[in-house]
Amino acid sequence: MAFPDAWNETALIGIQKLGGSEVQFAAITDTIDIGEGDYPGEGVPTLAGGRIWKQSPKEDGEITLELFPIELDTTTGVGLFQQFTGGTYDTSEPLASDVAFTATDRLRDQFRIVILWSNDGTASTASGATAASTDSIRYSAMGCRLISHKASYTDGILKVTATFKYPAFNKAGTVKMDRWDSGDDTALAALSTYDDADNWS
Amino acid sequence: MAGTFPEAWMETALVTIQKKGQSAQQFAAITETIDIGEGDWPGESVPSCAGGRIWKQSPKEEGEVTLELYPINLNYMAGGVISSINGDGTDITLSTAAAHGLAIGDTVRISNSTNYGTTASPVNYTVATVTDSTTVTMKSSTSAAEETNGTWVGYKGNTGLFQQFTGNLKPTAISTVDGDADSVDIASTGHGLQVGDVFEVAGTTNYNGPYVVATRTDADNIKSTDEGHDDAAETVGTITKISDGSQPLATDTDLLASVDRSRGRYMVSILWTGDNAIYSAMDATTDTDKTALRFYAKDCRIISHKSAFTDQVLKVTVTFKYPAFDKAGTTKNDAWESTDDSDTSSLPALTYT
Repeated sequence: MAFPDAWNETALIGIQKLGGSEVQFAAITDTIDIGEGDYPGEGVPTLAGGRIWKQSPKEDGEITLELFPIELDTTTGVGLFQQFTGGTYDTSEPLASDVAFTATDRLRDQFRIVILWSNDGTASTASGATAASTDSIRYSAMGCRLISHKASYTDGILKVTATFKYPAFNKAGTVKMDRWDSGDDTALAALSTYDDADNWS
Repeated sequence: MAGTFPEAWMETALVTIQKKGQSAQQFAAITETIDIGEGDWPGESVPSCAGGRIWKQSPKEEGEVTLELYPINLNYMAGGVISSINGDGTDITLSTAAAHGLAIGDTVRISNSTNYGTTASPVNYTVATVTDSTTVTMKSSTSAAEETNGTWVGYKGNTGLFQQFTGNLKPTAISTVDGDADSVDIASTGHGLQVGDVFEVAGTTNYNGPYVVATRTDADNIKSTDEGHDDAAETVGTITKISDGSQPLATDTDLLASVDRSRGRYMVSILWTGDNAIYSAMDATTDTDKTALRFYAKDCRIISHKSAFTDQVLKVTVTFKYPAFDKAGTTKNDAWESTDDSDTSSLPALTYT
């Protein structure tokens, strides 16, 4: 096969909680915005009239999805209500987001977000392997915290804008927390299960 | 385009990006919009007690160039061994040992040959036609005998800037580098390279430059089928991966902890012209009977790379930022150029080394 002129219309979106299973969200997603962290800098004027480039630390990245959620189930891609609230996921109907808190613990869940564009018609998960002799591009970010979850009924349809934010690097400064992959007439390997907060393998 | 400049520059432009010390890449085919934000040179008037105003000038600010792209994949660089290279004074025909993957407008850097680019002085060419998967032609006035030695490195255009934004940040130390007539063997603990990857050797006496991994002996040893470094073994220097060249491709995720965050520097060139015979914004216009307008900025860092699927097409907005002047304050980092068809000379070619 050959790469298309551009990646249009469809994509697969997989969201996996650290230690959990990947859930597919393409069916309720309208738009995707991938904001890799800027790597800024500025020229500092010197008295010679020259400029010394002062590099700043790479900033956090953000991924924003516009979703049409349906309900609170966390085992299928129908919404991110409980994922944003955190705590223990309710699995007993009727479902409710967790309202309990321990006094001091504000530990947030971490997620891996994977987005796949591919001409592999058999691909069904964003992080799975693609078929041989197909063309694909994939973006992945781990260590994502769900920092924003805004619901609106402004257009007469329930839409949620969810934003995930992730640090550029791990704590040790040895691993980049996001990556791109592409395969030219070549299969993409499946991503490893997200069971280590800062390890791609 | 004899006569005059057009009423306005419209619809098309050449967009060329070159990393410092490497070769040019073309991006016009995936670029939708270009925004050139030359740095402001601000100031303000300070009211004096006489009611007058004293102009207080501030330092010129950084410039930015922003492109909206429709990227396809991560392909950045590839290379290998030359099977045959032959120039007839008009075209050079290059045949590669393995499939080249090149397209019209891509830059090919030839080294380690006798007449088409040497180890000390590699020569860049632009692909004019793609004959088949292992053969391309390139415009050149070089006329020389056919050769069957040498190395080519292709700089892919119109794919994306994914690897360029991520950068290559993890050099490994060379234990030994030793070349003979047709290969270079490198021992470097934990090199992290795979067959097809393009890497750069630095800090040696005779081996500096780009190479392609031909054989990955093991995690600590690689071989490049390079025919121009029949030199004595050395035990200094580093190797740094420039581009993932082994499909499937991936951006680099490894970092050295807290010590090296050096960034790549780029020249961004934008050319509007009526000259249909050139493929690169860094090229010279082909004769004096052509009009052209060119902007270029050097020492640019890629500071932002934002992807959106909002309109159901993958679009990336990339921003390059550059200081107004060099460190010494003696050179401006951006410039405009134009040529009228009544000029006596063409726009010159640009270089960035």
